Amino acid sequence: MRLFVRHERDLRVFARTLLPNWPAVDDVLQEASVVMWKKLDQLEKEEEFYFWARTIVRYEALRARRDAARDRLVLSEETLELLANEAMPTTADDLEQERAALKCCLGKLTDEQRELVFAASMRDGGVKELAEATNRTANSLYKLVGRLRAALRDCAQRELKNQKKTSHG
Amino acid sequence: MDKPKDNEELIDRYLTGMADEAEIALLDERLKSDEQLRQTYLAASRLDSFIREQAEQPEIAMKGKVNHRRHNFRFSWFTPAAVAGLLIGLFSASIVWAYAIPRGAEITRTSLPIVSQDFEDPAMQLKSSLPDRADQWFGRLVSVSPTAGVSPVMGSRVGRLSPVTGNRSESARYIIDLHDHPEPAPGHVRSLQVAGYFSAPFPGQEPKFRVELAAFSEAPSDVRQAWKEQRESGEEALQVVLRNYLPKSDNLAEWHEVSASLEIPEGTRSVVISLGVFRLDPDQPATDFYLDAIDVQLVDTYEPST
Repeated sequence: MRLFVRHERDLRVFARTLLPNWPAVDDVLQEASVVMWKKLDQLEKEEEFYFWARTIVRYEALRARRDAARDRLVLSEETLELLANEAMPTTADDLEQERAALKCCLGKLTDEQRELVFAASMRDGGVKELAEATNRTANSLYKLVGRLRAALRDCAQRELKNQKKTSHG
Repeated sequence: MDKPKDNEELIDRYLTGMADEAEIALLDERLKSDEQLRQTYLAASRLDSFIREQAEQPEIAMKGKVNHRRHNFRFSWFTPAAVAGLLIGLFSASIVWAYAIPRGAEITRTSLPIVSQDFEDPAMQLKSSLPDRADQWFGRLVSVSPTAGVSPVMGSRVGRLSPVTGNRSESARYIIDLHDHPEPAPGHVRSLQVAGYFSAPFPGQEPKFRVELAAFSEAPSDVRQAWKEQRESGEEALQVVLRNYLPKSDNLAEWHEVSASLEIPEGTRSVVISLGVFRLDPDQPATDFYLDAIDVQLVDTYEPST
């Protein structure tokens, strides 16, 4: 459990790439942690825990997708397999660098801007709720959130490039 | 609902729970066939996770008034007055990173690109009528690979506008709905700046290129009717700016940049952008002309203290 706690944050990032919303991420991680507990004796080295755990999360996420086969508001299993394959090589170090870049970029926003970005990411329909609370159309508020997320994306990419230049220089 | 303009918007809509069934099916199809898009999706998904992690930090949650654990969003600061302030702040931030330009010691100018059109979609199909909705082009305009020795300004395709013989002018039009954008802060002067490239490579005409910007108090859905009534009654829209450009007859085929700027008057809801050609002799057989690299920006100028 100590290992799971240490890597939970990165496992959540991985699970999010495969699941349509955060409640589904929470459910899958809970199921995956139970499986990990049962199969812990199969883990040979502690340092291999992260990749081993990701394989279990992947399996549980795809199982959850099959359970929700009738739900058309999720990506297909074929697409999720492709995403899972291509997400797997990302290491914990890679994630930490991206995390630091994003944190730096969030620091450039005002408090109000951060709150709007956070509210949109914290739960599905967050933008709709904001729109109702502010008497604006969801579409117009969504566009504002979209611009901020795009700006964060661009900023984070620039930060990562700068980090790489610094580390190589 | 407006259709997402690009893949990144589609991904954002999915990750924020805004996408409908058709959009998710479209995203799914594109992800299956496009490895680069899958990388974009994975990066956007990680960004979403990192934002959530930051939102869950206790000090930030308190500062930002978002309490994830109880799923209890506090919108107390979203009073009507605060909404304006928030939106102004948002607008400022998204532009300050790249576009804040000090003008001398006193005036600052900020620009927010809101439309960029290179006519790269070969399947583009437009209504030829006057516009009645925002965020889409209207007119006798199609996406083509240019001929007559013309190279696109951007990308590999251009817009081809086809005038009708007998008509003096022909335009492509687009409505900006100002309700989709944050209001300017007090003391800020808001303008709309439009620039585009025109070329008339085919023989038989000496047109004027024209950029026209017209401000209306009506919503986009009512602009068409307002436009007609305006013509019948002779009344002006709230404000109109017309920029004509007469290229020299020996370089019609070259690209000519034509731009115009409209200071948006109070009470404006919609601004109609018209990019077109004015034919000096409408009875001459009409020939096509090209448009490319259309750029539209909202520009605020203000003294730094405001």
